[in-house]
Amino acid sequence: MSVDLGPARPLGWSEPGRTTLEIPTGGWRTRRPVYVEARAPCAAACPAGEPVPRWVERARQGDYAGAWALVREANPFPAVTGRVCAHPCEAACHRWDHDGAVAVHALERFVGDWGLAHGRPAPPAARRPERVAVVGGGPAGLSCAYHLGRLGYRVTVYERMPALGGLLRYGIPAYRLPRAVLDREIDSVLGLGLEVRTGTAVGRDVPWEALDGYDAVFLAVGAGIPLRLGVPGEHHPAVGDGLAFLRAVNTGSRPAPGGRVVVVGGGSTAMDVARTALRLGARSVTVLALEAREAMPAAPDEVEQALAEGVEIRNGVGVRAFVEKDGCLCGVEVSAATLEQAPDGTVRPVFLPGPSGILETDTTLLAIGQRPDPASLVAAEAGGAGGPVRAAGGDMASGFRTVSHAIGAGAGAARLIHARLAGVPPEAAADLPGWVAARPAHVVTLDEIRLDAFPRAPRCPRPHRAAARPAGFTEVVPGLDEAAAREEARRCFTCGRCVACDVCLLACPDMAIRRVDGGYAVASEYCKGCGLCARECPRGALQMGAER
Amino acid sequence: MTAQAALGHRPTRMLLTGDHAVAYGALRAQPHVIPVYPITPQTPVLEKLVELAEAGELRGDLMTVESEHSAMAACIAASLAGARVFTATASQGLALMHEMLHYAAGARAPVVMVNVNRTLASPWGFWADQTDSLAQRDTGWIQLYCESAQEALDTVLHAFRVAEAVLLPAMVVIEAVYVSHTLEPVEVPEPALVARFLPPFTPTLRLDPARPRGVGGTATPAQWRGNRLAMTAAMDRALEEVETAGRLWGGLTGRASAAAEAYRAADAEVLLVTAGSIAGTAREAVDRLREEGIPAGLVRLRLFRPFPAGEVTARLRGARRIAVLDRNCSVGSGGIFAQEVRAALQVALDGPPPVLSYLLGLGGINVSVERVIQVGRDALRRPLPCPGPILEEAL
Amino acid sequence: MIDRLLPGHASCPGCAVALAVRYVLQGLPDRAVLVVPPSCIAVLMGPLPLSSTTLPVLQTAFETAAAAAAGLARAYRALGEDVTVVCLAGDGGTYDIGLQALSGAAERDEDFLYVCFDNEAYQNTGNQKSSATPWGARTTSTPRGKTTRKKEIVEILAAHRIPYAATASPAYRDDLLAKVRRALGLHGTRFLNVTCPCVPGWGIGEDASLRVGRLGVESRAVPLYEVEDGTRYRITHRPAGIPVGDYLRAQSRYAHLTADQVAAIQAEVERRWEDLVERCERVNGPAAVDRAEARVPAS
Repeated sequence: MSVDLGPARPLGWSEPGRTTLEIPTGGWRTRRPVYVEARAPCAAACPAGEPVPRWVERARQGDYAGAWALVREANPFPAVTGRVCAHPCEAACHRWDHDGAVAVHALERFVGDWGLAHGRPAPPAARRPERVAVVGGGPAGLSCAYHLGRLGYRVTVYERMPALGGLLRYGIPAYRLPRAVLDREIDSVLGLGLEVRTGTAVGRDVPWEALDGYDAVFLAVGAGIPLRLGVPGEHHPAVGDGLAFLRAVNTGSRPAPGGRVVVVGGGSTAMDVARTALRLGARSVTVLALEAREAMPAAPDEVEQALAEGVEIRNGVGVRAFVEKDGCLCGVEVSAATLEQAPDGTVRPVFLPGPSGILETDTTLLAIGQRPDPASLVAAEAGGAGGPVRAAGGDMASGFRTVSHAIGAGAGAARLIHARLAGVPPEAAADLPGWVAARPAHVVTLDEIRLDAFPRAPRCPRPHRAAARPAGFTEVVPGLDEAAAREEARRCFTCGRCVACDVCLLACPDMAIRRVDGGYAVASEYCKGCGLCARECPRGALQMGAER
Repeated sequence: MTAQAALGHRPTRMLLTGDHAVAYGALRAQPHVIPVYPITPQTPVLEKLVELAEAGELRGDLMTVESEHSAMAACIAASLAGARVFTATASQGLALMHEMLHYAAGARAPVVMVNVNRTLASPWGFWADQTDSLAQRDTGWIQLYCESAQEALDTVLHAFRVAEAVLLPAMVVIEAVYVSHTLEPVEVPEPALVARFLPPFTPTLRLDPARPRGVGGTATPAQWRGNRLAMTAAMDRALEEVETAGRLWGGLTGRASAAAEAYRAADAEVLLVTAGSIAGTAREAVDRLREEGIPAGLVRLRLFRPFPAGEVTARLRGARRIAVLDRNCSVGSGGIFAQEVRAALQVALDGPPPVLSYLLGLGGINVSVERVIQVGRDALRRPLPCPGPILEEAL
Repeated sequence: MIDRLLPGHASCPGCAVALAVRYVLQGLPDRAVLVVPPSCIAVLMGPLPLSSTTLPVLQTAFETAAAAAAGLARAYRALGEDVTVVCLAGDGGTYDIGLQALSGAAERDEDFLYVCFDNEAYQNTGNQKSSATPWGARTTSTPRGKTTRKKEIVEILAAHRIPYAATASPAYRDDLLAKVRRALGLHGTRFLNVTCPCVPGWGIGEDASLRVGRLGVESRAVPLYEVEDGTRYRITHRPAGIPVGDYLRAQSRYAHLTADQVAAIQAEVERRWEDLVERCERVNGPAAVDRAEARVPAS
């Protein structure tokens, strides 16, 4: 029987359509979750300023065009840096202690090579009237020219050598960086419509004053003066400059450093010199490095490859003197040493007590660094009010003498010049959707990463073809195939960047997170501020902030 | 002529105990679910229902749960799902259900339950005593006390009609042995006749996924009070429904009933008041007292909750003395029906007649006609004031 | 994914029970009715006249969840309606006061899914011990730590030979939902014990309940397994086997434990784990331990 019972009707039932949505539990909150884009440690460590997690994310999605375009927002040479960058990103990677850093270096090469094969560079912005001179066609100069070219500036590149590339062409051996790769990436930069004047040294072929006609000048002439050890016997003709040796090889000569070669230095150049000497027929090659093996400035994989090819590396030893006998260099006097860094950043040996020994040698090549030509520094500081905007970068202006630092410096100079000439702020606004707050100053810390959200997956193997005593200059490290690249890209935590994984959405006991605009919004009426979403976020892309 | 006869309905006449009679009452109501747990002296109800189910007559789901508490919990849930629900218990079982009795009423689940009055332990006893059901008087259940197997069967059907009309649970009470296990000729009405009396249960509020609503959530003091007042209003309606059902059933079967029934009461100087099986004995005692020249009468309370105060007052107001016969005892107070009658008259009449309380048949002791006659005589000569219960020994 | 638990409910911030209820409700069909006895879940369900769920809810008495669910299931069957009945109860209402009704219903194989949200004490009334409270845990009624062990509720239910009994954790949602789906595919009494870390009761941070849940599972203190027909055991997640101390230290209710006591708990955890593995292998062979994505918890 169903009749209206009026005042006698049951009252213990919920009313239709009335729910706890009427109760704004958000009033309990003292802190609120905020979606952020913070800096991943890899990106923070990248001297070229690449948005590493972003382009890796694109690669993970199979959007290689997008990945390539994102890399080239910062770096015009991913195929080059994917081969020769010292990849500090990997040392900074939060995955390091979990199951090995993400192979960003290899991924970058994959993306760069994809770009060389399939990439379509974005056309430059509308032509601007301002003219900019870039002095030095190495990675810094070309990076600056590229970024300015993209912005529409009329850029002229002056290069004293017959071809562009600087140390990329004249320093790094082809077995690490095939010339075809270098040429094609440089060509892609030149495709922006730059004017190039190779074989033209400013100050020799063109007067410095000629630059005054430009609206801006970027100097990146490198550091061409080799450092010396300052020990007895150093000026013997058999004690050569490693970089000059590499330049000779890279311009087509085939010097034959026969017999026993000693290379002094622990950096990337030392490895290049040692491995090149080996390829040119040296009987033995011994590298003397002040640093311990793990502390060598050369990238670990370069060291590993050098060893695999038959280079002997002695660590923790310094050179006391070169020993001559009958006018011939016959040995290097070495003894145990540690290194000391001078306030100016240069490194010198501190010899430890104990006997020294003689290492027999026929040829010694020094690869302990370079310094800029003082004349270029004077030029950089010249000019006065009313003259062109001046900037300097690359090896001539920095103690961090790596390709990626040079590329980053060139890009920084371009931003500076653009800011001055066009009057826009040098820091471009972050390209973020409205639900994400940019936190570029915050580098994601390891404890912000929820490691247990990531099943262990081994880093992709990087076999190299370095046989013992290789003879030729073919490339030793193969690239990743697509499947391996996708797999590796999947390993990336994407630190500090929301990938819409839904973990936060599902971790909310109050159903206060909902999907919007490819991401999420927090319903402030209901969020109680517990912080589970932020704690559960696998990648530090959600942080608790004070309630407003 | 009753409608039954006029329509050609032929009731089945059977010799049934009270327990079996209520089982037939349940059969005719065709409940969907019957959660039940056996207890002496209710067990024959369960067994008869099983028998009827086995025979294919009872279609409802007989659910033999593991306790009376669970039985009542299941009853409430099934009822709130929209099912018609029946159960039966006694004594300890009823006491175990106590919490859920409140729950059923508060949730407005129109469960119908037969309780066979039996002494509560300790010590153990298996005989008639109304204290078990009277102790549930504040739970919000409608309570109907029956004096015979026939009335028990009829009242089960009345209870469904009333409970489902007002959305309150209803308890049909019979006494151990005297009703539960005593064979009487009983008319079992035809289903078609019952259908004219008891409509299907179609509650507007039920646990229905198509119209999701929750029941029994937490209430504010004001909401709780509101629900309690609504229950009170429903109880008021229940009184009318009981009277209506009694009249309607009378029209259909010739067996009319009311909330409070009078026997030779109109001109009585001493009015006996009782409920349950003692009523039959009391009628005979009234006749014998009248033969002795004592103008006695009887008012039988069929409905205890809601308490029919108006009906009781109307029937008692003219008497010189009122004697309430209680087969129950609220320890520390006395006869429970007596308390209720006194309370009703006290507020209804200016100088109500004295209400004497007699405790008869406690623990299941037989109450003879002679004993009730003694009460009738005693009531008229007992000096006043006399507040305390009068025991058999004092007669 | 459909959320049938709505915002605005009154759980404590960071409540794992709310999360687990949310997940279970995500796994239910539309034609489901909930039965909720007094518990933290009852708090969730919303004050009258509101409801925090889109499903009908019967709030029943403390010890009656299983009996009420049985009554509902029988009623819908008798009315010819296809309705899934699901109990959402706490550990007090399951392990303690409601065990008789649950046992009775399980014996009768009543047709419902019973989910116990086990936060290991009477948390709704402010953290008094229940028979689900583990040895050593401090509650307001065991101020020096409980001196007896936790009741093995899944074993008790499995001993009724019901079609399905399993453990679960809100920190392993996929596993939890797989078990809900598995249970819903069966008929009869199905039981799920979901261990829910409790922010105030266990003494953990408002943002820590899932993390602590993972520590419990990965330390094997809270094994994830299922039992079909009371005999076929299967471990559904292979834990990393971190020290149970990592789990205990994350909770202030264990702050008073000595190193020896922690070692004793470790030994007990290992004994129980071995026992579980043995049960799995006895029936199914070593392959019983599968569906185990090796997750490694934060240390």
